[in-house]
Amino acid sequence: MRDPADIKAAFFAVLKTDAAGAAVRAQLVTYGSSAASIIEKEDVNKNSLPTPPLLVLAWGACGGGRTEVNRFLPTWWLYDAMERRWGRLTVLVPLIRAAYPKAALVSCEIDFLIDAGEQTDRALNMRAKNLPCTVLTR
Amino acid sequence: MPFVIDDKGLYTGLDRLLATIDEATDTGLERGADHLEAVAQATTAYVGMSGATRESTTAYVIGPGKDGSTEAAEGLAAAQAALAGFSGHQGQPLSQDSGVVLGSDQKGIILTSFTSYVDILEREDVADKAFLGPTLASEDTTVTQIVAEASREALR
Repeated sequence: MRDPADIKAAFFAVLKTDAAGAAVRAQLVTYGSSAASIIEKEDVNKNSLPTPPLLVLAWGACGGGRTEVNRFLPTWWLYDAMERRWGRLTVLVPLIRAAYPKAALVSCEIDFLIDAGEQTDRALNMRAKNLPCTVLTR
Repeated sequence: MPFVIDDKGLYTGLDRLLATIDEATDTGLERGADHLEAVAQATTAYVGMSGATRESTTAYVIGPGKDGSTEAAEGLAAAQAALAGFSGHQGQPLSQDSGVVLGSDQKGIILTSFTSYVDILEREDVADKAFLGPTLASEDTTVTQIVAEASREALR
């Protein structure tokens, strides 16, 4: 099996630096944000968040450990300022989905699940949407 | 000479097989629910203050003849007991419709907790204290194997 850390890094790089995520980054720029606002959950500092909208990757649990197929459950969390509501996040969702075709990562199969709709994260004081997906690998 | 098959026995056997698998699935799902509940209650994703979330965390089977209302009432009662007189935060016991609608021949497991703030744990601060979703995600293969093993036992 591919090293899980490699898979996580490759998954993150799709939006952060790869050509496949260029449309997402371009959209962030039109909103006054940038690739600097694409971060991993471990790097979230509530007192110093990047310019919104920001995209946060939570890698999540690993399932399927007792079978040959391992499954990772990353979630892209999308956040924007409270006063922006969810309009800009709604635009970003299909761009993120499009950046991850099923075979976007070598030896993996990616499927997006249903996104969880409009949320308000009071801990971060931001509007939020999330986009969970499964990454299967042998 | 015509070749005649009396298939009455065959159909009777198939019916028995299906009934056995159906019963075994119930057994397996009950065991799977117990497993999910134990894992979710043992989570370290959050600490907790009143104990209401942990004590009301419940997994139960739904399907034909099982609407989960008894288990939901027990879960809600556990949250009510833990929060009675507790003033450390504003959270309350809460029971809501799961929104899950199964077909007439479907069965499943609900894993939930009966507090008003479990939704906050699952979602806020980049899902930092989430435990229900991660438990389902990490244990679904195990639960599937538990159900399969129950079928295997019944068919031995």
